[in-house]
This record gives sequence, C-alpha cells and structure tokens, in this order.
Amino acid sequence: MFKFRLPLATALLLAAACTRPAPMPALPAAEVAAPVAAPAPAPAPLPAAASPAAALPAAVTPTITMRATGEHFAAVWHFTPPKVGELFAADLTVTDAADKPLTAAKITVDATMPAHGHGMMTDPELKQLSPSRWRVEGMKLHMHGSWQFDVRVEAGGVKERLSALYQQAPEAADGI
Amino acid sequence: MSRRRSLQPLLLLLLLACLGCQQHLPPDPQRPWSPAERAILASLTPLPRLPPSPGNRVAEDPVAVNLGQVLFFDPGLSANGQVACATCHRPEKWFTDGLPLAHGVGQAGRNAPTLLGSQWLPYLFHDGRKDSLWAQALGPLEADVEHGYDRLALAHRIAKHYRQPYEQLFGPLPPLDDLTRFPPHARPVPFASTHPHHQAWQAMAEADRLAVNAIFANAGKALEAYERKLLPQEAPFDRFAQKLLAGDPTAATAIPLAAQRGLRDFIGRAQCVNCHNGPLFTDKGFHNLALPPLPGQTSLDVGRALGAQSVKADDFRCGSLYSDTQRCEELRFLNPKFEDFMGAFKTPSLRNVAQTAPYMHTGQFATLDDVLAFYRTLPGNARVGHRELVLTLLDPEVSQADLLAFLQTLTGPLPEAQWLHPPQPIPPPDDPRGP
Repeated sequence: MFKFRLPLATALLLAAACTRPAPMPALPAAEVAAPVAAPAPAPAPLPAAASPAAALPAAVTPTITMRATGEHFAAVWHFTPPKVGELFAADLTVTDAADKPLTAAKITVDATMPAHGHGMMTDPELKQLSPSRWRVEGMKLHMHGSWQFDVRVEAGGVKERLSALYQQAPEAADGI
Repeated sequence: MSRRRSLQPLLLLLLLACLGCQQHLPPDPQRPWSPAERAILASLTPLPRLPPSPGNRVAEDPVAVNLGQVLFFDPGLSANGQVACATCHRPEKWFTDGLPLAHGVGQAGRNAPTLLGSQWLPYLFHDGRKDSLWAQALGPLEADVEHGYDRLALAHRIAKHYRQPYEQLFGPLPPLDDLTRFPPHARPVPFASTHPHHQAWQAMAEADRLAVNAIFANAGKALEAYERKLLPQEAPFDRFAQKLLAGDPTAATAIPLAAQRGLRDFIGRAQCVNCHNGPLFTDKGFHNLALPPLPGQTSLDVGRALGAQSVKADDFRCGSLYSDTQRCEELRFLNPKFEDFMGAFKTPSLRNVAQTAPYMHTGQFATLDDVLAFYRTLPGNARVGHRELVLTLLDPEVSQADLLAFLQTLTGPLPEAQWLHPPQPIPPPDDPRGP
C-alpha cells in the first residue's frame, strides 16, 4: 500500500516558500502594510499587506501613514500615494519608541523590493525640519509590488533600522 | 512519532491549498478579468498626453517643428554628405533601421532605437547618458561612426541654408563668415587632443565657443520640436482594454483570443509587466539581463553605470547653460552609484515592438521568438555586473504563440503622413569630406 511520507521539515519549508507574495498585486488601490520594526542587523520577517486605503472611495486621494516601531525608536511616514515611476516626497517623523522627540538624531532612508533584490534608482535627499521631522525628496518606485521602506536611525549611541512595507499599485505616471 | 504522523495530512492539505492559491489561473478568455488584472490593464492604456519639455522653450513652436523636420532629413549634416538622422531612424520602419547595429559614416556600437515614445523617457540612449531629446540629438551628430559631423560645420550650414527660421526662433547668428573666429570645422573631441577639430576648437575664443555651443543646442531643440510629433498611435490593445474596462461586450472580439490569453500571461505568470509597465510598456529604468554578446563582440559594456555618470556631467544637461529650465528633479535625484546600473541597459517601450526588430541594445536577437526563447532559459552569466534577481525563467507553460499574438496588438499606425518625409527640398551638402 502506498504510503506518502513527507518529512516534516520539507513540508514546512515548502509551505513557507509558497507563502511569498504573488507577483501580481491583490488589490488595485494603494495598499499599506501593517508596518513592523526590524531591529538591526537582522530584520524581522515582514507580514503580508493589509489595505486600509482600499476602503476609501475611489475619488478620494488617500494619504498614506505608515508607522514602524522598534525597540528604541519609531518612524512615521506620511505621503500621497505615488504612481509607478513618479518622483515623490514624504514627511517623516522619527521619535523614540514612546513618541518623544529625539535630539541630534542621524537618519538615512531607503526603499527596496525584497522580492526583487533591488532598491530605488534615485538617491533621496533629507531636509530636517525640526529635531524629529524630516522632508524626504526624490523617492521613486519604478515597479509596482511590495516595497520595504527603511529608516536607519542613530541617536544617543544607539542604532536601529525601522522597516515598513508599502504595496505600490500599478497605476503609471502620466508623463515624466 | 504518532503525533508527527497525525500532522502529515494536515500539512499536505495546507501545502496543496497554498500552492493552489499562489498559482496564476490559466489564461482562459472566458474567465472574467479579476479586479487586480483590470487595475493593471487600466495602467497600460490609454496613451498618455505628451509631457512638456521644459528645457526647450521652442518645443511647441511650429517654426521649430518645421526646421527640425528639415534637419532630421538633411544628409548634409554629416562628414560624407550621406547620413541624416533619418538614415538610421527610417520612418517606414517605425523610425528604426532594421539592423543589429546602426550604420552611419561607420558602424556604431549599439542598435538604433525607435523614436516613437521617446518623448516620455527621462533618459535617452540605451545607457541613458542624455536627459532630453534635444541633448540626445547632439550626440550622433558628432559621433565619428554616425554623422561624423562637427558643430562648426553645423553652424555654417545653418547660417547658409536655414538662417531665416533659425534667427526667427533664436535671434541673430554670430558673424560666422569670419573664418578666423569660426573655422569651417571644429569641435571638442574627448581623449583626442591632437585631433585637428579639437585643436581648431581650442584655438577659438571662449565666447565664440559658447556661441557655437548655443547654435548646436538650438539645432537639437528644433530636432526635438519635430520629434515630439513622432508619437505612438492607438493600437488594437488599447481598443480592447478600454472596451473591456468600460464593460463593452464587443471587447471580446477586439483582438484575437490568443492575444487575450497572451495579455493575461504578460500581466500574470510571465511577469513581463514588472518592467514593461505603464502605457509605454517600460519602467524607463535600466536592468542587467546578462544578455549574450553579438557574435564576435568582445568589448565589455558597462551600460548605465557609465551613462549615469555621463549625464550628470553632460554639457547640455538639464540646468546647463543651454537648458531653458533650472528645475531638474530627475537629474538631481539620480543615483549614479546605484549598484545594479553595472551592465544595465534601458527597458525599451514595447509599443510597436513587432515592427522594430532586431532587439536588445546591440540587436542580439533577430526576432521576438528569439527574445522569448532567451527569457525561457536565461543562458550564461553577465559579462559585466550581475543578472538582476527580478529576472526569473519564463514559465514553461506560457504559450509562445499567445505572447507573440499579444505583442502584435501593440502595433499602431505610423504617425501622420506629413511627418514621414522632408517638408521641403533639402539643400545639397556643403563640404563633404568623404567617408
């Protein structure tokens, strides 16, 4: 009699492998993932995308707010959803984990597509507006799909990376 | 052990359910298009409106359009009096030449791309070393293997044959008939300080060099004004997708069923739309596919890695002395050190792709069949940099015939007939110097 024996580890591995995001987006509207914090150096696995923005009426341009809270710091991104390939700017607030302002924090930002192994083709510029607020200019997401926004924070001798997932909708930029 | 065995059916079920939900459904034309598929279709059509060209103040001027059209077809703008822009960008071939490598005065190192759709690209040339159509047009004019021309000869030719429209657009020309100040032939020749054109250029007064640069740039601006008329036209795909999205039942017959299946694969399991996105079917970005070289080609080409450095330093870039704008966001945020630029080349638009063979930056592939065959096996490794991770083998279950049928539906008509030939007789070459 045929007996199918699937080693437990193999089964778990296959089950894990097939849960990676499908290449096509699940929803047409801009989606926001539940953001997570990833203490440096090893980032925690990121959860699947959720979509608070998708519930909005189509005529309303939603503003995205993404929060990433780490062990030491917290970051909040705020931006209008960009089209694919469109330069856009974002407001970024970085505080300590209890939302208290920081002093003399150094930050850098980046966005990458973990499933594709690449980042942005642009080099964003940061303008500090206050001890905790920055304007990020020159972001560009050149493909639709899942992008990971990272903020690397250094303050008070502590370094931490704060990551949040953003699901870029396929709508293309109109012109340059 | 018994606990583990009791878990096995559950795990197996989970695995099968999971695999099922992750697979793209087979491309059945009868199946309604899902919301996700519709969202992608809506991102691919209609053709977008023409973007402004803020660096070129005559971009919309009919006098500039006419002057640019004459210049485009003028073989007098070449060392041998035989090479015009239209030599490699042939209107009847959707502004390509059908050759793997462009052939002007000599053999160029890359394929001549179509001009249709180039108006939306923030970076021009396969390596993106120019950031506007007008600045791009200047490159081939002085390239030894293309027009082999020089900016002083161009200035003299404009003064002799095109003075009236030029001065109407750009103001009076400098006293070019003073050959002691403005020699018949001169240009900066990079890495060739002993070249007679370079020496003649260096001998000129700086103010005169700047004046000639402005004439050179203005010729580019007239060429761009004309090239902005060379737009991709609505294709069968657009009619299909727009009808489908509007709920029009005649969508079902707007393109062949095979093309509809191919389209589902294009935006689905074949993942072509990852890079060929938006209504121009390009992300306007640069990728390293680890393409095979042309037979016999031994030189290594770093592509965008050099192009990104070049455009930041180009004399005619956005914000330069000759640019009509100082707002240069694209260039400002360009990251020339982006590591994946090594060996990367620009994603081409797929509009009219069935008409623009051969393919890739050196025309490595003669047919679209060859291109798809490459994506199925991805043979070899990158000679420079590394193949981008996003590139995975084309799903073997995707039908070649279906994808090809879809790509055919991206062919629209040529631009209006008035743009396909010189608008008036072209003056004879002035001073051909032989090939």
